[in-house]
Amino acid sequence: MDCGAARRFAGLPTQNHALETPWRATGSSGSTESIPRESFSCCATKRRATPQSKTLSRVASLRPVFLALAILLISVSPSPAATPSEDHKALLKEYNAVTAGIRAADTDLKRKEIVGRLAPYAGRFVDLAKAHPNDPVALTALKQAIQVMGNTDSAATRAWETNAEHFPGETNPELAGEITDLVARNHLSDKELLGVVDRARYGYRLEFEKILASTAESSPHREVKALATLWHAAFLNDRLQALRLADEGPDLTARYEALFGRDYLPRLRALKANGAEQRMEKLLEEATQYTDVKSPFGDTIAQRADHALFELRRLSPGKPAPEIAGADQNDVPFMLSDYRGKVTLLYFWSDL
Amino acid sequence: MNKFQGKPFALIGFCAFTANPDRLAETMRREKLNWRTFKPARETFEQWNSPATPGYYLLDAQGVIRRKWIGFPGAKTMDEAVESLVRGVKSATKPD
Repeated sequence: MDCGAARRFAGLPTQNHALETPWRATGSSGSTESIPRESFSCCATKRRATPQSKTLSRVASLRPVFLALAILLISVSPSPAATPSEDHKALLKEYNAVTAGIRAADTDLKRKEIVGRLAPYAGRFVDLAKAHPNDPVALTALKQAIQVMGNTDSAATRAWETNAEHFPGETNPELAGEITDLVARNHLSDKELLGVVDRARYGYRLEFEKILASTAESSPHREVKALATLWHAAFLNDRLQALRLADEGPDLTARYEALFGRDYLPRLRALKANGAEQRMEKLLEEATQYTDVKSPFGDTIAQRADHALFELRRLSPGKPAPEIAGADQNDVPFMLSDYRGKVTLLYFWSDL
Repeated sequence: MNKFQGKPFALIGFCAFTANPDRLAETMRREKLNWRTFKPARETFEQWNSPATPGYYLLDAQGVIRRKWIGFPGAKTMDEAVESLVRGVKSATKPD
């Protein structure tokens, strides 16, 4: 586009090139040749320029290039480095925004879509912990990674009860092992491990048992050790319950395999075969010594352990069901034994 | 579980958590939950080791725990287990 054309295009008045001295350019051979004005992209001022002003005008003509370069440099140069805490805050904010959507989702399909979006955050929290292994934020990030995995696994397994939709099991299957290794390597003596222990207890991934076991064994903090001992037993109990469910319902077997991998049920069977029930009882007995340590629910670790031992010894198939006396939804008193003579399904439920 | 209506079977709930325990009856009517249920009672719930919901204990007619599922085992599994126990009650009470 010549200068005039450019100006016309821009709606500006054109210059009359016919009035100007023909511009001469020097070729590489040193010969001088006449070059049609239209070959130049710029206008008359250039043709009248002195060598000095020519340089200036060339610089001026490069101004847009400089400007573009400057913008590029600003955009790629590191902003003042974000602290690990700021990185964590930003990631958490993003994660919370996605989580908020799940509360608003009113169909299983919408929930499924959001759960799919949540799952990758587990890996991102782990990456953050790996990037700052010596910063306190690392342990918090690992706790959140476990929480994300637990939430998405829980959403998937709960969906089995309520609808036919299979929630995505998109978590990297090796992530649980990676989290466990990072905790074992960097954080076992950390008092803040309490939060991780509390999350690992609800995890479905078998790797998390190692977090609970090593913490119970080696934490120098009494309250951390106490909770890890109790939750290690609870973890084993939950996994054994899951195995019972899967063994009774063949349709569940396929679902467990899809979500946790084909080796999940064989590993649960190995856990049981290796004396998980006996270990669980032993851990609970150990936990009864912690009469002075509060559980996250406000009672003591010892009280929780007593209830768990009660379940183990008195709430198993073959044992008479303990009596329940209470009031029904209409405040009419009644007892579980009122239904003696009938097969009774006692259903623990919640509307939350 | 409707298929067991009129048979020696009872479905009894234990409400572990509800948003408003004082309005439990209203909530259940609205949600069309038609079983009789114990209202939330922390002490009893903890005695049963605070089972995760849904949690199910299947008792025979003598009140002995025969099956236990913490988590939903699938409708087929539950129906078959109930059916089998109900059949036992009926044959035990059948006149010679």
